[in-house]
Amino acid sequence: MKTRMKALILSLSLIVVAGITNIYAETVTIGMRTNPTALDPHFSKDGGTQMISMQFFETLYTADDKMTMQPMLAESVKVIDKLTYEFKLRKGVKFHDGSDFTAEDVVFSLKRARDIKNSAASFASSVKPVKEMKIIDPYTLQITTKKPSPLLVKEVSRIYIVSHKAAANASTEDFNSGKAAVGTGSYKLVKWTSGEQIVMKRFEDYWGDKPHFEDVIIKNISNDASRVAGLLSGSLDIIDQVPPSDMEMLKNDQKITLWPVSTARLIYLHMDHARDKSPFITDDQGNQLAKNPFKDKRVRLALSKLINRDALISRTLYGLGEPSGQMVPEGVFGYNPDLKPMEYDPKGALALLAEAGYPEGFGVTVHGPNNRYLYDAQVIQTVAQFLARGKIKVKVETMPKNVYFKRATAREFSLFLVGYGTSSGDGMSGLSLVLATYNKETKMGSNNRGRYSNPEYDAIINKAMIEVNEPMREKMLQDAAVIAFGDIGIIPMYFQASAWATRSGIQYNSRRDERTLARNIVPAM
Amino acid sequence: MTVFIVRRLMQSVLVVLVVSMILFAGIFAIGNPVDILLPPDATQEDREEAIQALGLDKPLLIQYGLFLANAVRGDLGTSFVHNVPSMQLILHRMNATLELALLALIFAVFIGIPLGMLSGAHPNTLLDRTLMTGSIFGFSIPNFWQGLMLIMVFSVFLRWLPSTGRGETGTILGIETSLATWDGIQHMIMPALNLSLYKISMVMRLTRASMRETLPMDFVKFARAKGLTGRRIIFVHVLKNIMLPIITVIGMELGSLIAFGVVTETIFAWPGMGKLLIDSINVLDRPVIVAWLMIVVLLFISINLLVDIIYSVLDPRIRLSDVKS
Repeated sequence: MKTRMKALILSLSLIVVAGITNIYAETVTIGMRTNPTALDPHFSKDGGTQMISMQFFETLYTADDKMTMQPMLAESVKVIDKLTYEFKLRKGVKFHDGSDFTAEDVVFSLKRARDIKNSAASFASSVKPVKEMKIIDPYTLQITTKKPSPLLVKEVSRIYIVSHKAAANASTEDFNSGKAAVGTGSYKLVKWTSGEQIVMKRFEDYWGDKPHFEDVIIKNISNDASRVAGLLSGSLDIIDQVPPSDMEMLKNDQKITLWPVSTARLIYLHMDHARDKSPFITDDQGNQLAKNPFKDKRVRLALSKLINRDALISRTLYGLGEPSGQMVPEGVFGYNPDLKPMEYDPKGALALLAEAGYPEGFGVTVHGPNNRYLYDAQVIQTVAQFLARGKIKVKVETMPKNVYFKRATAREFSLFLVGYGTSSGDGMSGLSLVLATYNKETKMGSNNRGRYSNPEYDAIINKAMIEVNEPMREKMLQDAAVIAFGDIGIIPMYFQASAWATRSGIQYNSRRDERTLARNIVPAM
Repeated sequence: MTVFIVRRLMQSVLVVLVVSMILFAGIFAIGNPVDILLPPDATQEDREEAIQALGLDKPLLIQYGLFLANAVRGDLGTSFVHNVPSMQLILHRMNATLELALLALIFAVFIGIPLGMLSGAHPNTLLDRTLMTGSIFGFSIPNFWQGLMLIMVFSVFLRWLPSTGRGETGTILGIETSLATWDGIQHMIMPALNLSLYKISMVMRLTRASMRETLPMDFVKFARAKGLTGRRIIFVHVLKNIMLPIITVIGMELGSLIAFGVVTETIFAWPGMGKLLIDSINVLDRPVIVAWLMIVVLLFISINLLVDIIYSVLDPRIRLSDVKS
């Protein structure tokens, strides 16, 4: 009888304890579309891997939710002369293993990122401008560059700082197993199962504001429908990259809240500016035209006017987009408030086409990927419909990204859809890679697959590349954007938007850079 | 028998070699991994460095030669994407796939064969017709849709089973498996069912057809005349005779269960081999794609060999002779 009583009390108390932990079990489960390639934060700068690195590791400066740069492990930076920067580092920062963060870790991390082997997308080019690193004291670091590099602070802020003790001689596998994955971030790694999930725990000695949830599980679920089903079934608390077609259904669900944000990924049309005869431009009979109409600015302008950006976004993308007239959205360095999205004006477009000598249009094939951007194939079809209103005979051809980009880079197309995501919070990269004249030696214009070229524009960009005075550089970027977009170097359409969905009761502080960070998950107000 | 096996193994080596050649040329033609792996804001300089780091600057034939030389030593290359040996990556995922395939196979055998026998023993009854019509659904419903419906019903509406992932794993005999924990088993039921519905239907139809063929045979009549019970006739004598075609088919299907569970693995976010292949194709991770397909080719060859051996065990009339056919 006594033992039975004891058992009863024991099981009752167990139930009570279980009940309490249930209420206060601060575990949140995230359904994430991407999958990290490795937990080594220096191995690859693809988005999926960085998203995971950002949970455990920190950088000197960081882009906040609006993509504006903020100090993180550095407290401030001083430009000593054109070639020298002095970083004051944050004091009292601890690594997950309890050791202190000092300048030595920064030097180690930058060197490690530069020397990483076998990587297709390494951070080496970010460290390339660095000539010398000098530790003045444990919290002061001087970096000298080879030539004036205005983006230095942003570039070295791409490098995640690892512990120089834990990561000494560590291989990628040491990071994957967790042995070397020691950072200063607000969460620490418990266990990673490749292709399945990442388990992490709040770091209690974190220097900044501690995140709300103690235990976080990230499930890597690439299939859209499965992610949504997981949320609806209650096995996931939050999912990222909500598929547009499910937006309406989730919006009407009382138990679900949506957190949309427009990103800094510009989706644009690129056209062949350079060749006199372009491969996919034909007359009515399908014969190749002797003249490339895209060399005429009036034609380019007409094309831009034919695109009804609002309709495209509301109908094809279910609202997941923001019309655009330039490379970067507001909040990103170099944004020009005077550049508005092009107005939809089919009449004006027809007049322009007639003026340019194409009153009956011409034939063109629009190419694009079908698995790279949000609803890319559907967007291309919609664009084709718009262009048809200008009497342009449009054919559409889409293909998987792994085939598409090879052909686009080989300049096999005449009119094609591409996206460019500004990940650094600085408009410089987009302007110099997408619109500057292609030059193999200076490495300019490497994404300029349409070969737009304007000497006046190049001159400003070249000046901005070496300008270390930030306000002056900002003015230069804004001026350059006016030239290139006034010239319709590319046809900007929209910034792709992205949405998170949570079960009611929690909130996601959406980020412009589409990153899903555990520390941005908070209880709903 | 030994000669037979040795000869088959030698043929396999040849097949693997030819497959590797086709694969290498095919993957080379698809696209350049650098275009996919590099972030959009990469510079020309990054590009050239990446091409060099991955060894893509060498001509195709030299790349193939290097691959073969390493493969002979058991090294199938290092993943471009994950920076770990591709063999290790695949073997790590293999557990998850094998346990799923195994459970699906168990479903197929232990549901398909009894139902098929039942159907065959009572042809043209209501039961038979219901089962046969049901089986048509089984193999005509698209796999991905069926998977999503399973999730909708059992996870979203009824909330009985978890919708994604592998769940908690434990170890049985040193092998990490979901079968070791209740949570893991719960996670397995739906994906395994999704994989096996098609197989169940097929095994069921095959069993029924064999039953119908075997029942009127003389030895059955003889057994009846001898006064054996119906149960004994069916479960001992008839079953033995109908097993041959079923084993052939199951053997072949096991290979496809392991290799092509891609759809199911994607929908249920099951971290298996199929998903690895699709992910690798999407980013053109050449070493993993090649290694993966080589392993699968080997797998198919060994399963076929195994089936042939089981054949001879089941039916002593069949000799594993060195027939040149």
